[in-house]
Amino acid sequence: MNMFGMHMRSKTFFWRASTIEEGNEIMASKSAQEGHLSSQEEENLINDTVRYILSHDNTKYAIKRQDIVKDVLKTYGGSSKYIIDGATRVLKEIFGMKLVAVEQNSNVKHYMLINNEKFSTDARYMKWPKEVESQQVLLMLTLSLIFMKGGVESEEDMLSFLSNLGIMSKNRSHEYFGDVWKLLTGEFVRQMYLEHVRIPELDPPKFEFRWGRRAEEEVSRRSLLEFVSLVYGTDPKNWTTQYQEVLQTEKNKREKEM
Amino acid sequence: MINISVQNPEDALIDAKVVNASSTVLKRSAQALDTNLLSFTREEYYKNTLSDLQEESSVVRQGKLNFQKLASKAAECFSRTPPASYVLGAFQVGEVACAKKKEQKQRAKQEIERKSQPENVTCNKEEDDIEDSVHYIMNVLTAAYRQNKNKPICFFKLVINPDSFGATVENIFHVSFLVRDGYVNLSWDENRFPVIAPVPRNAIETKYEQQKRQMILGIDMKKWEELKKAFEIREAMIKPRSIDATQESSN
Repeated sequence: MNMFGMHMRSKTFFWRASTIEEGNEIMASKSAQEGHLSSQEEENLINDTVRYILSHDNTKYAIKRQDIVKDVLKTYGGSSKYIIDGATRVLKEIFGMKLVAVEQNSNVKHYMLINNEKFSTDARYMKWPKEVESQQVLLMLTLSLIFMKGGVESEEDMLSFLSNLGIMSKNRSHEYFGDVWKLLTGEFVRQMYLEHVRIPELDPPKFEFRWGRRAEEEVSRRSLLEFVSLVYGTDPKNWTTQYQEVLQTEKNKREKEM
Repeated sequence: MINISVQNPEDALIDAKVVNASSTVLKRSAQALDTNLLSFTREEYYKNTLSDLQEESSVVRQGKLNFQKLASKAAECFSRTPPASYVLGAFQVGEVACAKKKEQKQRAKQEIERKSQPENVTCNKEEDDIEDSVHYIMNVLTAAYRQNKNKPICFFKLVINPDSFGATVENIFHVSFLVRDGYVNLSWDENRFPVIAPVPRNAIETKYEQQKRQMILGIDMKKWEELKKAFEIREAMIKPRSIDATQESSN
């Protein structure tokens, strides 16, 4: 049997789900050596990648493309783009999650997983772990402050805001939130919710907070504006600048998905 | 024109820096401008948030603000993926438990081994003791027999120790070895009392021809007292070993 014949056979034979596992493996390994992936192997790799991404998503840190190649794909690193595209498709269609690529430097790709569903009415039925709950409240307060202030907030202003609310106190972690400063400058930055950057050309150095990449994808500006309006007791539309921004962001997202 | 600017490079540098700084300042001022109908200030925001929370929180918790009330509103703002966890957990948990069990088994075995060694030593010692006692009793019996003009000796007179019931039982126990091995001979006397006599040495070698008679005896403290009275036993024939000093009981 020549190689070509075997290759053609493998492609047509394994189109249906086959129960002859041994035959699969022998054929698959041979065709892999040729440089092609059988659809069975492809499926396995895609499934492994999906499982890898799902379990690494727990921490909300970015998943490095290099790690996926090293841990899951191993020798098949060359087809990483194809496999990751397949994984994106599976995550979107079966799990309802969006795998978003973040490019920090060129060629260094990170991925993060966002929920594709909108939580407007069903949110009250979801029960998050206690840590996540308190972190979400803290993030909502800080992100809404940054948003209302036009996208940037200096470190000192953030500090005074939080201490006025009674959340920040020196050398003491909050009962509900934990170590607030550590969360803001460490954990949330690593999870890409916030950016804690140094203002250029200022001496002594000063820092400011901005929205992080994950916040851009995950957080709905409209909900934040609604919360602020609720607190003030007014209508969201009264905040003209911010409302314009909400509409603009929503329009951009719609265009992206098309 | 180009020559002129090249002639004063320091000036050009300073000019560039000035332009840079002023543009940064302009940018910041532009950012600080607000064209809202309602302007947003930090102070107003936090005051409103505080007052909202204080209204909602219960009367008891006035000192601390209950931020948990905001939890459901906060969750609505995020499109977060729920944490994925496995129902049964990682496979490795089972292996860890087994390893511990093995260690415990090994430890248990080692402990048992250590414990058994001292036991072995005492066992041997005990066996030696028994052998010594048996020999001793044999000697006593032989001497008494000779004193008695080679007539069998009353069994009870031999074994009973008037001061210690425990020693009596031990003596019976030791004598039973002699009986079992055929070194002594049990029989009845004219009054149907058991008597005991050592077997002569030459007869021991042909012990298969011997008739091995054995007696089943039961004794308790009451019987012991009665026997003491009946036979008027005042002194033990078999002197007890030094260990039995604690077993002596007063009458």
